[in-house]
Amino acid sequence: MKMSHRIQRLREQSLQAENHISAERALLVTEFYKSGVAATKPVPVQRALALQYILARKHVCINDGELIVGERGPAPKATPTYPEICIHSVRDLEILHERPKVSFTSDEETRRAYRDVIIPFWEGRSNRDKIFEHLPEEWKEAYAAGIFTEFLEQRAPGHTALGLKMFRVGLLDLKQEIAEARARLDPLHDPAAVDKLDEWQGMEIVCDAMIAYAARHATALEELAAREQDPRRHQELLEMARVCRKVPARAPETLHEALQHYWFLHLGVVTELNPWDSFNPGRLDQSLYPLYRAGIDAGTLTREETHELLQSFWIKFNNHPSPPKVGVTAEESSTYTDFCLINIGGLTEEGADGVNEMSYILLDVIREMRLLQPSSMIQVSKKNPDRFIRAAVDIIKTGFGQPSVFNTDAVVQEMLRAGKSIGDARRGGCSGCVETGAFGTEAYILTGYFNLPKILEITLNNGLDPRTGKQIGLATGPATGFRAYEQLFEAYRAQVNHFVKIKINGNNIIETLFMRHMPVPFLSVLIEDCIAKGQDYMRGGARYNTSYIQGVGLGSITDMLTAIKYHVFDRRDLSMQALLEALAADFAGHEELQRDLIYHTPKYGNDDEYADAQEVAVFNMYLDAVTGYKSPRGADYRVNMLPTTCHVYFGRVTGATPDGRNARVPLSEGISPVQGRDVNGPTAVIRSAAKIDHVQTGGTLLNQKFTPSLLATEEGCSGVVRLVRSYFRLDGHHIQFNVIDADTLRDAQKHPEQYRDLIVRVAGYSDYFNDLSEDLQNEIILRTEQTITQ
Amino acid sequence: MKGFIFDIKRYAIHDGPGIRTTVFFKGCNLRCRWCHNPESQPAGETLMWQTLKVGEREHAGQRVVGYSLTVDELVARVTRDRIFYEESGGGVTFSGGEPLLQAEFLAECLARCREQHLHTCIDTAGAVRTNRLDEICRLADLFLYDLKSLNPRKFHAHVGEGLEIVKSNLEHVARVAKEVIIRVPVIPGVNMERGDTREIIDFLAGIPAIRRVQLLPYHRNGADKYTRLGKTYEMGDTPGLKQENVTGIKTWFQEAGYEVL
Repeated sequence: MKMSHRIQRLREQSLQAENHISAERALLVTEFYKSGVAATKPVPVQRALALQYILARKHVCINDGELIVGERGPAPKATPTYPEICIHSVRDLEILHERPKVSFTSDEETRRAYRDVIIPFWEGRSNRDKIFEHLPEEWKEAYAAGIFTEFLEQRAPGHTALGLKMFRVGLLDLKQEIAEARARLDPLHDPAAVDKLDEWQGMEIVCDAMIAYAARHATALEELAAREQDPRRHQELLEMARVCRKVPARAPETLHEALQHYWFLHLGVVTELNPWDSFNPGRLDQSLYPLYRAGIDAGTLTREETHELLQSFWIKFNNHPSPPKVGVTAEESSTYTDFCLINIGGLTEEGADGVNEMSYILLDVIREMRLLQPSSMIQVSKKNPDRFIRAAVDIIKTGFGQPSVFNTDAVVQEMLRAGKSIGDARRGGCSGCVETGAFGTEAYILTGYFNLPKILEITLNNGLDPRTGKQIGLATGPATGFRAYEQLFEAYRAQVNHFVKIKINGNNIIETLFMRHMPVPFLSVLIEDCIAKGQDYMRGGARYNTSYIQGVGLGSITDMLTAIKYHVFDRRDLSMQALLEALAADFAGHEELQRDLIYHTPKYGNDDEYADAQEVAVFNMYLDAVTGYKSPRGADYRVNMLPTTCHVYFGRVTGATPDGRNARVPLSEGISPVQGRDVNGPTAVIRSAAKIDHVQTGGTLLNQKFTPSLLATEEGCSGVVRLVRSYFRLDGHHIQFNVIDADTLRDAQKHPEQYRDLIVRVAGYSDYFNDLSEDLQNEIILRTEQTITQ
Repeated sequence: MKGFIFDIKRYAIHDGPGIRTTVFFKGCNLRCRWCHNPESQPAGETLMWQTLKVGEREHAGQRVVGYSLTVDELVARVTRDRIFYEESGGGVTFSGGEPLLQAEFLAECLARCREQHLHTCIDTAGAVRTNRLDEICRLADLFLYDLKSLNPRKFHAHVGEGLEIVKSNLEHVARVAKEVIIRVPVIPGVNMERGDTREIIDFLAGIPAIRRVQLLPYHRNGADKYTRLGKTYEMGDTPGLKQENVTGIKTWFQEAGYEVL
């Protein structure tokens, strides 16, 4: 379906709007805490009143022509900061303003507000300040060395998605639930009774605050309607005002109401704090379909209106870049995307095929809008039809990386293994990049990335980080002393366990500080069973609680261990001493060794039993290292395998590695093979990747690169559908298809060794890009560009 | 028993139905000038130049093309992707080189694939006289049978010897095999005239079991391999063909009642 003129205009506005810092929220929250009211209240009430203060005063923005209203800041792309969590210094603002990539501008007035008002008040009081005061020295050293990152030092533990239930109730219904829960309280026998009463009080305040905030939009819309000359828009504004008076107070009954309802809830969550991975509407086709169907059947909704409403909704997400980070965290994940991942397809709560008409409409909207945000994915169960995957492939082949593809049956297994009920598992899905969660009932917090290859570097140096010369690991003995590969592997295991403990200790400290100081009554209203338990989301109120540590560089660490085992211990054609010297020299003067390590050594991603055995061993070791710990809020620590862009940062802090990689070069991403090392095609990659037990993780990420022409034929598209089905039969969690553009191909010409896995469609057959003559490569580049501009 | 091959390519999606693994036999009795796998032509090991790049540095050297393997080894290799064949209706394709030149090995591989319930396909130019043909036809599920030219003069000039064998073998294959698809490589200056297509159609008229034809437009993808083998690429600068260059030929086949893939 075509975009209407106003949607085109709104989309253009969203694309053109400058990402900039807004001091509005930071000033309001500062004003509130300065007023002295906060100091007299219990913490949950304090936080509730802070949100109420902001929502009652923040600018109400209504963009010309839009159908769904509400902005996080005063205008599209106006991005707030959260000084109670993390203070942006004036220098931070300057860097954000000036940097060429992922910049956020700020004007003089904004900087003055930070310099004169916000920074002086919050310095020493922000959660980040408290965190760094509490963290032990060993944590700080490991963090500085790039062993791990920490999400929660400057963003709040969010990472959750709205459940289906919340599309069926309003905040007034939830207030009723709060009243009922309070009525059940037994203050004589419940030692947490006072805490519960405080939490419920906070919850009630934020429900009222949000209803009032929606009403402010209704009022503004009515005022606009009064001035509107165009009779059609006049009616529309009145209808929008009506919707804003109804939701989110009462349950939505039309498609329009449902989208506006969610959007207010979304704004509440992201205004209350800056949760990592934003907030997510979850299973959107499941929640919207009944309302859509009812509207169409009753004749009150047309297909055109459906598309326009959804398109308008899509633009809202794109108006909200991820709040900018500072320091290492900015480096490790530098992107505008705030990781809202729309889930489409999968199973119904009863376990039936969940693909419906709305699933296909949402796919259409994704293709029509072609926006960075929201991100999108399809859930594929064995019960879903091939036609559904095929419809997604038709979008994937256009080459903007959406939607990604997830295995519902594996995700459900992962959740059952983690103790969730079958219904909650089926109502769940994945959010962020690939993280499994029970939507609406789980707090599944990402805590940070974990640099597996760097720890082998430290193991090979007897606990010393060669980059800084600091002894940050255990003294597990000089590498030249290992008589058998198993000794090396056990030393590595000891180092991994050591750093996992440091990481988890840090997280427990941070979590405790969030539990004490940063409850989120609004998010708690939305996630079951916080109301029933009278317990905040931050304190374990959700029905299920998980903390993830994301392992990075599975491909790299597998190839590193494989190279050592193969050359040093099995074939004995390389001494450990010689290897260490070559690594220390970054292979300068050891080029033939480097060549052999790259080209004449088994590699992960080729369905090679030798290399893949190391993959499975190192994965199981990491799984064992993390599994079994519990956090203060009662969460289970679990692993997932995803990098976002952290493999680049982790690579930068890691020296030359035994797989032939030079120092500072990015590590492998997700569970994908090292860039360019898989040379046996996608079926071999899939078989290698499926050798680890995905069901024991909370998500893995597999990336496959294809050229657009490879997906230009029917055989190509159906081949991808079959690859997906095969991978998922092997319990693979997720796969995404990166359809490569001409610039990348040009880079591939310059650096062929990094693109050995790149498959291109040539003429009636497919081949590796590297295997083609330069002329043919040029020809394909030309063709690729044509494919993209069509 | 051992066979001699030069490559096994996984995720082949244009050599028969579904996702396939294509086994390339080494050795060919024809010398088509447009061959995009010239390293496949000699029956034994072949040396080929290659450059391994590490950063800016290039490591030049020669690589041995071709290796022998047993039927067991081959079957173990191709069954690795069984799950993909099952999900896609794919299987194993034996190509080359010329697979019929190693007929005994081929027949053994086909029999073993059959035991393994793998769908098999033979990609052949058909110019080989072998007493195993009947057996191979019964064991394979699909034949991709090349017809380059049926003009004796052209065949002799551009392809080599054995046109009569190609024709009699095709008649035999069509009679015994389950399914046959004709593949016509469309080569400028060789078989793009209406008369060339007419000759093929006239011949196929006598073999009613054949209903499907696949056109393979000439491409230059093998050109640089000739340099790496120290050979001359006799197609010179002849530009590659696009799909639209073969629409005429496609129409001629369609008008004669063939499904053109």
